[in-house]
Amino acid sequence: MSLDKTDIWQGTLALMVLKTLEMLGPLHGFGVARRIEQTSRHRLVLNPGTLYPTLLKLEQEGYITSAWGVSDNNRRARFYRLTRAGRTQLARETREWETTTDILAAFLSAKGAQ
Amino acid sequence: MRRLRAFIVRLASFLGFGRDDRDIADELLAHREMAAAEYQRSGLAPDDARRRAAAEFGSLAATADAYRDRRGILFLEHWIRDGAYAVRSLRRSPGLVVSMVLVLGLGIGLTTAIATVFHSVVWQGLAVPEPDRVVKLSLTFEGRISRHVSGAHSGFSYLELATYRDATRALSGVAGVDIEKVIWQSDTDLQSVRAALVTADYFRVLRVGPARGRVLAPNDARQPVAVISYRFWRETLGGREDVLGRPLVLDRGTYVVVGVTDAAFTGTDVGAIDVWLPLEAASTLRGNAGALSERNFSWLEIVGRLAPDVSAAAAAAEASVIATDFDRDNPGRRTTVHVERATRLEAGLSVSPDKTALVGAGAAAGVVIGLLLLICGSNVAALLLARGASRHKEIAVRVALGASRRRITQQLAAELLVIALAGAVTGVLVCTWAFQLVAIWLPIGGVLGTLAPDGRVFGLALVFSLGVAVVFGLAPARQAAGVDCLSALKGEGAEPIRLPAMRLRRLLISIQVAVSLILLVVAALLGRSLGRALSVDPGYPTHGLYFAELNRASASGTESTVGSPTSARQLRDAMGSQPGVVVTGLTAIAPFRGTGMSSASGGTTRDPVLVHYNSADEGYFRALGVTLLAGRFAGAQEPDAALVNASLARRFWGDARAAVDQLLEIPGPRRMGPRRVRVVGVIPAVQTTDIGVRDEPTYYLPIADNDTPRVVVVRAADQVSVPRVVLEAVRALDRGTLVTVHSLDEQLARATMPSRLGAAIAGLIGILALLVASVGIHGIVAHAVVARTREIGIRLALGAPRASVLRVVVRSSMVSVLTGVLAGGTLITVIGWSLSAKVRTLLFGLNPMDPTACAAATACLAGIVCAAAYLPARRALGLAPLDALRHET
Repeated sequence: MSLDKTDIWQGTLALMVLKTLEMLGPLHGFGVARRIEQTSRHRLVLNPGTLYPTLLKLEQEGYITSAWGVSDNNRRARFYRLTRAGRTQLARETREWETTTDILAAFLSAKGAQ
Repeated sequence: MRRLRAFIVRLASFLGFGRDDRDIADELLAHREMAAAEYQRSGLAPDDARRRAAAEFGSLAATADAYRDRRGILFLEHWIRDGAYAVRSLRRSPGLVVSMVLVLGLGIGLTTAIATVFHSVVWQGLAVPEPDRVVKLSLTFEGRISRHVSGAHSGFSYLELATYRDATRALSGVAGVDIEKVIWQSDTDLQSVRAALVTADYFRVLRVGPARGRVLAPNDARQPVAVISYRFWRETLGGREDVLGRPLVLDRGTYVVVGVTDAAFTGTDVGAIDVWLPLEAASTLRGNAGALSERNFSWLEIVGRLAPDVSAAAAAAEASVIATDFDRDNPGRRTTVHVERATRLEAGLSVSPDKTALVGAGAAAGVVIGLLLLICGSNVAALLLARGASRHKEIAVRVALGASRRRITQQLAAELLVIALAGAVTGVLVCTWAFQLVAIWLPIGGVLGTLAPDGRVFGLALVFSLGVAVVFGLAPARQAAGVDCLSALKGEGAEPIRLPAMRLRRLLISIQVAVSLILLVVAALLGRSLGRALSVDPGYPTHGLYFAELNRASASGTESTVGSPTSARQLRDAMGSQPGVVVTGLTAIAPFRGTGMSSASGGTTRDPVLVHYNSADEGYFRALGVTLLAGRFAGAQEPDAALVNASLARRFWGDARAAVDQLLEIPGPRRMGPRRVRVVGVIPAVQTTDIGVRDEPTYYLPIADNDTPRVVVVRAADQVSVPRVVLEAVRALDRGTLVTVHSLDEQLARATMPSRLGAAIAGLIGILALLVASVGIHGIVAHAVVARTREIGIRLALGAPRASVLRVVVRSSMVSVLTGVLAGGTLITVIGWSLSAKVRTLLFGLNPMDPTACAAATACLAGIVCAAAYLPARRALGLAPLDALRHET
């Protein structure tokens, strides 16, 4: 499954990015991509052409900041870090997402019971 | 909130703050390398790892693009990129672009200038507070009338103004204006200035205040005071602060300057006023006090201001009641008072018989604007079509590389926008020059002097330019974008032959031909009328004919306070004995200086008819050089004899000879009912009222001993300086009388100036239209023929004779031309029929459907089209069929 540019995936991708940054702390784009792929047990394949615009969008909205740094293997990379606004946003979106999935799950299971 | 923040960040990065392309590329590269390193760690060979990472990553450039799209503001960047691209691609075909911009600029500039002039003169209110509450009043009459006219027929007399002022409740005030050219005697020389003689409440009615000193107050009516215009103060008097209290010698009177008007106020008519004088005081000082007590004398224009909460309709209703007051002393007359919103135009133009002239002028301005825009637009469309056609391969390549048709149309639209903007800028320049030319050619200042390109002018130019570009440019742009890229890339045909494109092209040719035909005919007509205006033949020799006008007395029969009643006669007698003077005579009204209007009946007409009248002695006709058609001249001792002109004779009795010894019924002295005069002689209908038009029915009464004629007419030999002779004669008589001397030639030159100017402008527009049309038609026809090169090759290869191919090609172009000629010709005929009579006046007796002008214009266009079709066709025929088949544009 590949994340393309449809709105719903962009929205969820942003959530995944924020969550990843919250879990692992400052991280570069490659690390974010790998982490998301691993977490999804490689059911999601993240295209850089989708990931980087999402990172940029989050940064423009002020949820993350970025700066050049050095990676574990001594490589120059741009690191993304969650801001306080990002944390609040993550909490809010997580709540919203949980509500949504709850409703959908209830809806779908009700339909299945019929 | 977050969105706003994001937008601001994007805007900032769009403006160059934030990450650049290099930075992004670095980040993406780092990503790819990290992926490669990971694969390497998992056991792949370095090369394989890198390849795998690269394959997984996909196109670095595409990713960077997606990234960049998010970084800035996409549509704005597209716009700017499109703009830059448009400028670059336009630079590749400078000739075409320059001609498009020039065509647009010239058309837009002239259009904007015409529209601005028209707006400021005809539509805009006066430059006073609450201009929409200011009205102008005018009069029209029916039935039996006898009235002296100076200036407009619709003017009020002083007594009528007083009656109206006392009666009105709907207007909070009314003021009268009489505009005169007066001679200002400064310390160093004599100078002609434009004076407005106004009643004392003029400034109160208009609510115009002073910039220095004060404006006229009610008790100034009999005081020799003057208020000068801001411009006159700054430019002529040097803007000195001690101007208040200074004396101004105007004609024979001395006035004390009491104030300077507000800078924005230049008067209530088209020209600028230099000085305002109290009407009563100035009339007396000018020896014209008699006019103040004359009831039937049109000489004042009336401005009024609506009282608070009174509508214009209520004022008009009140006016019709007051009008009946005016008729009380004039049995058999019906007066109508018209109330209209005040503009700089003369009051009553829209209700007077001259209405058609005004409507005609407005319609002409509108038509010229429309035609200019149309011709520019269709030319731009034609040039764009040609450009689009020659670019279709480039567009095909871009479509093939993945550009969406929408993006291509957007880019073409951007080119259009760039052209439109350049056109608008050129237009504003052209407009500015046009204003400057007007200011130089028509040095009357006033509203025309204040014309300057402002925001509105630029806005108008922009609207016109964009409108033309959008209306005429989108169809060609969409056609260009709708290219069939496969066949275009394969080089099949210089251009795919598509019917809509060909139809559009033919339609454009037809429109161009029709429009330019109309403009050409108009231009040719006006050009020829220019020729006639320069050599107007009033029906008698003009050279050596002079008129010495004594101070303007009132209509014959009333007393004038300055100068004895015989002074005109004495001047005539004194002049008669001067060397070089051939004949002298007397008349009440000099040619082209006004007229008398009167009702008359007789012969076959039962109801009174409105005719002109004048009084003149035999010397007047002899000086003019008019010979009798029948009968004899009337002597001074025959008060009941009259001369009529041929128009009146024909109108009343059917023939010049039949008129002699017939009775003519005309209005008698006031309150006395009609009187009858006997026609003793008939003269030809020469021109003395309107230049270029034979006089309407006119009768002439002899000058009786108790009349006070005020014009001495002098026919002199070539070498005589009549003005000097007159001045010397006046000095010898020393009557303290003001005399102005005009030569008829001078008079005609001044009178024909507007039409000469109009003809020059129209000629310019016509030449411009011809040029623009030639460029456009040539381009479009030539391109159409070039596009058929392959077809010509096929025809030749199949064995068609060259001559017949040539015929086919030229004929198909000529069809569009003929359609255009037919359409244009029909329009001209229709317009000609509907306007004929009035336009004839404006055109100095030319027929609007002048066949010579039509034929010349048609021939000119046909020649251009033939050349445009023939030359490329010849070239195509000259090619070997194989080359023609492979031909590419």
